[in-house]
Amino acid sequence: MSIWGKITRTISIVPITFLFSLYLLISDKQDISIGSMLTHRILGQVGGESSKAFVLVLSNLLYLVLFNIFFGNIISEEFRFSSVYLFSRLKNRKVWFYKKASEMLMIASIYTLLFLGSNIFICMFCSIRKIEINDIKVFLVLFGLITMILAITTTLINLVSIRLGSTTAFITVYICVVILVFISLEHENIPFLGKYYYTRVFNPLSGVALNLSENLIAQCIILVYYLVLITLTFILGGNYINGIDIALIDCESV
Amino acid sequence: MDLLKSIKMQFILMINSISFKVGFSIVMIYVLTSYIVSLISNMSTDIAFMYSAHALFCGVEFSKLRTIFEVVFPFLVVFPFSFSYLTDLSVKIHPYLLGRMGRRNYFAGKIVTNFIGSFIIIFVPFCVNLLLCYITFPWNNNHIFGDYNALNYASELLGTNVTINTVQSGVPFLKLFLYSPLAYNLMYICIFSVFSGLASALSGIVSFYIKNYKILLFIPVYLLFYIGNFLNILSVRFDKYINFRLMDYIYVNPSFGRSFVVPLCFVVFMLVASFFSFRYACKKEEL
Repeated sequence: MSIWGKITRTISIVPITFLFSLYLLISDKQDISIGSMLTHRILGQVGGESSKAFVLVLSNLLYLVLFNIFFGNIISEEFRFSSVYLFSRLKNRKVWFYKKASEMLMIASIYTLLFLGSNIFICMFCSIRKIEINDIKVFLVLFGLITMILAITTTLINLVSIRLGSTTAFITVYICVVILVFISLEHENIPFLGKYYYTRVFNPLSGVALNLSENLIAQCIILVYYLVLITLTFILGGNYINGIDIALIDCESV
Repeated sequence: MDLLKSIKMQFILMINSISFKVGFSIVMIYVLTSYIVSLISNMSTDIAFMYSAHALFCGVEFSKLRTIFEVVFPFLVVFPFSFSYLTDLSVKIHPYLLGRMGRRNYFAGKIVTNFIGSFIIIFVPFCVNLLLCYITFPWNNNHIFGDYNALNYASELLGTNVTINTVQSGVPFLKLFLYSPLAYNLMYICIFSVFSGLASALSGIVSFYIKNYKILLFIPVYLLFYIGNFLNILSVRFDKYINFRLMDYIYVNPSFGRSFVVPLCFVVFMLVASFFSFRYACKKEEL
């Protein structure tokens, strides 16, 4: 994919976000803090006051789906068509994969920045309040979380895509994402685990389940958990790339 | 005759392809899981209080796993045959196919096979679920629309409980539902399958415009559903509420505001888009 292709696909989230927020832009201004408005635009709230939790919602996954589709074959495509040429010259395939995965992480962070930036702009327009320090904190937490989720899911799609083709890889990872989101939404109804509020943390897509600004230790644990997840994805992905037979290319499932 | 041959050849190609098998397997897993969930949730329920078989069918809105299927559905319909044109291009087989059956038959066959493929992946598994539900669960009058013959039942069916200004309220095709809930469910399976076929044909005709990146074919149908949901939010501000959520038209549910104009517009759009895309594809291959 050319650099312009990457830029176009990354920037495309800005007009899409504005387009699907038209109804907010023509609404009356509200007396809600920008951070709270931003949180409710992206996440859904489950549970009562004592066990309040913010989780990703199934009806608002457009940004995730688009990123997965736009960049779901960026690594696998290069692997399929250039692997023989590249790996006969490169000493270590893992290094190539780490570079590509880091590039994915960088693109994910820019994409998230644009997505959240657009949303912040819309929230500022719709709220009568001004940005406070707490809003910036919410922004940073969401930025970290969404970047990690985008990078991990898209890297996984690319890895599965090498073996099964981009379409099957996408649907496989997407179904996993949907099931995890569904579990996080229905957490309280799960027979044994539902009783324990903190078991939400083990669900990678319910990382902000705990109140965003009220439980600092839990947020630190989640941050470490996500760093471990992304490191594991990189290391296991590198090992997987290292062991693939590059002589056989299945053009049918590209 | 050549068109029939083209459809037959592409149909055989489709049912042997991995993407069709993946799509079909996912829907089959969903309907079987949905059936098992219904079984588990009714395990210790007295038969007199158990919902009727037609209410526990997975094509009904109150089905427990429906939300999962609803978000996966726009991607599933793309699976059966929409990638076939791009696959033909990537394996460089399309000049031979075009030479053998002619441009018009080749592209018309693609559109028709897309429709048939997506129709099958919904119709067959949902019929299996319906059959399993009717074998297992009682055929009583415990409806999802309220207590049988009580006031809430009548108001839900007739739509007299709707207090906002809307183009439609009450259960559509009410006479059929009262005559036979089984026939009603079967009719909704047909509507769902036809809609699925049309959505698949849409992604199929989009594939005529691109040369690579199969994964981009997931976008049109997903965006169509997303735009429908977005218009539904906007519709609340209109004088008369119209339901634009496409999923509400293809599931058995008591929602209101369902105008026949919405699916009609979709069908007309599909026919026009198919016609122009067909002409475009034929002309492109001529060059």
